[in-house]
Amino acid sequence: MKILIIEDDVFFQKFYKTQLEEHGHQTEIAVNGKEGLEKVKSYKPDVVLLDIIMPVKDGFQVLEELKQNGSIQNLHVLVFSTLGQEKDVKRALELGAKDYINKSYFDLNVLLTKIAQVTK
Amino acid sequence: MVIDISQYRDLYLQTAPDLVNAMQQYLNDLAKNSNDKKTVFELYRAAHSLKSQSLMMGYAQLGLANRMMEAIFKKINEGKQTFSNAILTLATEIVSHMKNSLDQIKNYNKEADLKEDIKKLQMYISLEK
Repeated sequence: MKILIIEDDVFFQKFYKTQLEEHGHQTEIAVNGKEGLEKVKSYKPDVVLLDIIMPVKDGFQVLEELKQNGSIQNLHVLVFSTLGQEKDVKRALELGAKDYINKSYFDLNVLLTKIAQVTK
Repeated sequence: MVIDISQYRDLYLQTAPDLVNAMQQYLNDLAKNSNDKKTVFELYRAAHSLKSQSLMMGYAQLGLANRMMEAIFKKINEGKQTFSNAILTLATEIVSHMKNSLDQIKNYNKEADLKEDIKKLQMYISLEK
């Protein structure tokens, strides 16, 4: 599966890339929301893993643009959340994200299961 | 499928010190110009990243201390709180302790005791409510 990781944090970029590729997925990284929107068009991912707090354009702005241009309907977006971001997750789901991943208490099984579920 | 998280320790020890150093620099910048919104946002973003990385690596006290720093600077970023000398002094002290904690992780594979710092941050947050 082609997975676009939109994440500004170098630690998490490398972490998700290695874990997902070890499990047979192809990955591409975008370092902020602006680059993420460009790569949604050029890379044509099956799944987007989207961070919320980012420079240039944040995760909400990405979701809003994807909603405005209609592409959110055909995209499977999972947002990253951490401790203290419960309200952010609710807002992201309202904007069209399919589900969320807790990146502070990471469970690989949960991530792989959610990726499989949203693309069913 | 259980991940051996220790394989990411070296990566953490590359990225986390950069974040702490950046936080120190942002605080120095804010001491000169407390109205710089971009710097407040970057400080909030650095605390957010360090919180997430630390919790994932199992360094709970660093994670919790940064969770509180993040909450404080989020409020300042949103204009719900002002950047004061009190928060400058407290944050500068705590960032310095975070730096020591990362050194301890590097040298002894164990984070420093930040319970007092966490208490101070909790007290600050409760007083500002």
